[in-house]
Amino acid sequence: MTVGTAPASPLRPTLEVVDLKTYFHTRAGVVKAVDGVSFALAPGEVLGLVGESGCGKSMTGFSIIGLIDPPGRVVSGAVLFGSSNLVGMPEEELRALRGNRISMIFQDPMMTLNPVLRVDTQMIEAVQAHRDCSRSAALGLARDALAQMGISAPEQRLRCYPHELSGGMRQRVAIAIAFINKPDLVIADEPTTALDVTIQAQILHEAQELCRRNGTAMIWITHDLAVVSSLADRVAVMYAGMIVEQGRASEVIRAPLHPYTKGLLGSVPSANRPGARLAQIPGMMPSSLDPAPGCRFLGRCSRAAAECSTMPALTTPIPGREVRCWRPLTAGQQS
Amino acid sequence: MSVAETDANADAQRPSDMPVALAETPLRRFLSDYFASWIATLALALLLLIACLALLAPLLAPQNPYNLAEVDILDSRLPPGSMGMAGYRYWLGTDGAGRDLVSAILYGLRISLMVGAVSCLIATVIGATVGLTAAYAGGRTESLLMRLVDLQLSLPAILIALMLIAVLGKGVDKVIIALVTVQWAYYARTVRGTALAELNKEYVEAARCLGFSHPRIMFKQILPNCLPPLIVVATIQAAHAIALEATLSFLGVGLPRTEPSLGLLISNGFEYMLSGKYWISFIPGVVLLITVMAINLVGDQLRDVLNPRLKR
Repeated sequence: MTVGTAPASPLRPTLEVVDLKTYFHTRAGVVKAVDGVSFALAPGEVLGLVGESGCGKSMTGFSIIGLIDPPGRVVSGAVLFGSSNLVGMPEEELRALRGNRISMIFQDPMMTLNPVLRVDTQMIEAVQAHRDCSRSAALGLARDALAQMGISAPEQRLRCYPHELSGGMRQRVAIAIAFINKPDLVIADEPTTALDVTIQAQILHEAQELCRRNGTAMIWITHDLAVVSSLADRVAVMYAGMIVEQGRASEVIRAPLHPYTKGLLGSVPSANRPGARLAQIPGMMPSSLDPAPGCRFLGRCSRAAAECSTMPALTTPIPGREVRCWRPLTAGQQS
Repeated sequence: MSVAETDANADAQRPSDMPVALAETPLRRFLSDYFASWIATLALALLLLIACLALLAPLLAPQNPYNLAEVDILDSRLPPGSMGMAGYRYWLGTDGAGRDLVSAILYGLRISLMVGAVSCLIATVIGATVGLTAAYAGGRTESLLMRLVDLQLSLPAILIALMLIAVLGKGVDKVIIALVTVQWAYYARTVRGTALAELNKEYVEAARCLGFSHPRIMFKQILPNCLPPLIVVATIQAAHAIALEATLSFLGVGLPRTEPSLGLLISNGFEYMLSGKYWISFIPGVVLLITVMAINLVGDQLRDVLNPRLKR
């Protein structure tokens, strides 16, 4: 249902990430957490950023919003948001954007809400941090934001402390706070991972609705391909700091081009093969600390050949699809 | 998606009749935890009584000990229970100047508590700001501020206070300045420790992502989470401040003789101690002891109630 409903970006993209590189200069060497990531997002579009733990997907999110803590640093690349480049932007200007034009949702809603402040205090803070606005007007906005996230009796919920709410309710509050200033971009870092599947489905649906309605672009960082297939318009698969495949979500999932994407899809437990041994990708993701020059997936790839010892470039074998592989999968090999 | 929508509807109906846990507010839980101990309850009641006595001293005291016209030198050093020349009984006796000890203690409590509370409040504000700034800024600022705290804490409190009073001179305000100087470092260290732990929590990261300014994150997000240990330290330090002020007054460098605090009353009677007129020092001393003990007991119970690790 997601395919085709995305606005066919007549406008300029909300966000354009160009060759973003975030390195951590540690004593052991340089950790290339994000190594040349590029993608663009149209208003109202949802991009699923997929990959296993440690592949750099969260670091990509933090790099965009400019919150990489030392020893990490965005060493090169550009993050074009509206008419400005967020890389190298003064901290004060970035701060004015955060929570206002760009906001973020985190994995654990228990941790991201301040435990000693009531929900209303926290929501009013989020509004008043960015505009001159009376308390009662901010409270009205907070009530509307909660109602939009499908929270009934928002009046009562506003007077609650975070510990009085269930996990799903807390994450709805966190998402409502992220959307309260009608941002242009929301970066969601595995926000439904800690929730059970039914709550997850509701929250996905509501977040998607909000994006469509407000024209908010969203980056949904996850390791769950099922989430991506039901939510995202496009998907970017990351591996060891690089995007290895990118395209429309439905197409990537139906016909993966990169062996890693195929491996990921293959390791999703499927209901029609009960009892069968779960497929997995052999080996471990290589460390991003001083990686070898060749394809990062080389050690785990069943299709590896001689040319794979040099880094493949991102190519466009099919219009709208990008893949970083010397030997992308062909039609017969994709399932 | 239809499954999700029906679920959303079900979810939308459920919570309205689900009782929201309003009965169990943090304040109510805190109060019920606090009053679970009868000693702490008693201490709090005693403290409130002492505070009321101090506040209402001008109404309760039979005589105004500062008004020399009301004080009769002929009544000096009368033992507890004696009748005075003015026709009323001195229940706790009189001191060397003929002042009624009941009145003098009530007025003395007033000054002791006021000095303790004001210096504690100012020291809390300064200490919390310094500690929070140190934790939040980190790096060189933190090193500088915390070394200053270390320096402050490595010198004996009474020595610093004596030196300051020697430089500044006598007076209530001077004593308060001395007490604040001696005490702010405790608060700074406490708040920094708590704030460092809080800084690693994700809500601070989330606040940064919401674009909150640094002061906003420090004072509106982190500080409320640092309050429990701060309240405990403030209570204990208030008791210390009162005791320290009494010490300074006893040594004759604290408050002026015209505004006797408990320490000054003790010091006034000290010379008569060995001649059997014990009450002039002893009774103000007992009152000081009870006051400081009540505050400490309240502080202990606050520490137990506010410490999540001691939760039963």
